[in-house]
Amino acid sequence: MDSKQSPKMNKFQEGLQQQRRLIEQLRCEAQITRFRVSQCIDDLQKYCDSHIEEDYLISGFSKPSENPFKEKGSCAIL
Amino acid sequence: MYAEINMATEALRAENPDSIEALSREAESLKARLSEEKAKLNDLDYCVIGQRLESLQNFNIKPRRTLKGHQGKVLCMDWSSDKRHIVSSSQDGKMLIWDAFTTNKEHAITMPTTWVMACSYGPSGNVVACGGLDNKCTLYPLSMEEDPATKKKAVATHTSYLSCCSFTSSDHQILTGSGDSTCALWDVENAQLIQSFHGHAGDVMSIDLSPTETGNIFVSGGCDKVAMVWDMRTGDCVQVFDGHESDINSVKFYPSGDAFATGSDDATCRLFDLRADREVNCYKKDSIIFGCNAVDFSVSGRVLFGGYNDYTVNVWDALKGTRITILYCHDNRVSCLGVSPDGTSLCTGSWDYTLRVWA
Repeated sequence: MDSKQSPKMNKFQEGLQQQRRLIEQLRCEAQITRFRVSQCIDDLQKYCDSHIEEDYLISGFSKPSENPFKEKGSCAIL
Repeated sequence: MYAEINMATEALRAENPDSIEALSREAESLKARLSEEKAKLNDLDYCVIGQRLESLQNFNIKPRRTLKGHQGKVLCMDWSSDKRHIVSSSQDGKMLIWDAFTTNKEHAITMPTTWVMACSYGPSGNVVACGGLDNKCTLYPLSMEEDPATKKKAVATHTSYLSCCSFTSSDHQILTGSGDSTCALWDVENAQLIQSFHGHAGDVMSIDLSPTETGNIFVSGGCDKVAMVWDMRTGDCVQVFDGHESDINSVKFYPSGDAFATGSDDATCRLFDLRADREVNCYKKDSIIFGCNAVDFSVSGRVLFGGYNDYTVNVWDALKGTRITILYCHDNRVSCLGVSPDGTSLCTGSWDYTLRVWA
């Protein structure tokens, strides 16, 4: 074949390359070890439970004055 | 006729086992096997789990500050690691640095472009990066003595607009996402490409780095409706997550790093788990018909904030999948939002030209 490839041939090669990449990707994904959904959600919940105390947007502040965005009163203590 | 064609393709396949047709077939069978495998592990409906959990009580955050100064739509914002300063960028080509406590503007940087869609604080708090329709990511060291613009440095260049950027664990590397459908990791010092990430079939809209120290992975979402998880060192896409029916505008890791949330133009937010390799929750309501532009978690991961095109912020219970409340106070689309690093406050930015801080 002529060393100069036709545009059609190039397109064909490109398509081939794309398909090969997709398959490589899918093979790679097929090898992933998957966990049960119940276990994954359980772990997400455990993380959440162990950090809920420091989640001020949920638990609030033990004293309102600890909120850095609380509007300060008009008199400041010197 | 049919038999003839069949024979011809059979012959072709025998000659050339790598024909596109043969490859497509293999791809299809691999895809089928994958979804079968994933379905097998879906042993528990998340609705069931949600019912077992107690509802969150007393969720009560209020608007505390209004940051006024942009003369165009606010497009992006980021918190400094000092939990006090905020960088925001706007359609008018300006980037502003705010002291969120006092609402003072400490720096105003004018970009040579409009639509500055991405901005990010460096981990040290001494540098910010931004970009947009200029297709570039430019760094600005912050100092009180000098105008940051005099020390600016272009670090990254894409072939289309810059949609998002984020420093890695240091000021020395920055990850960018672009309308050219790629992501890229750059060395800041030499302004050189370290790794590029090809795989999306549409504009990349959002990226987020794994919060785990050993992660070395990041997630990206884009207009091809899929989210991809990447290995930063090799440049390989290691997982692909589909399910959204329209553009993904925002991606954000769950604080443990095991899952991530997405916000999409299909008016839903979703939770994808890396280890289950699938969607594990979907946050939606019939009454919500507008797209979601931005998502972020509270520090425990229990609450997911979503900024929507209907001017609201929907606050979701990330585990139960139910809506806790709605935050109203912007007069136009909510385009960006972020929880402060210490988890005390939420900042929202809007097309109404303002940012608000909630606590």
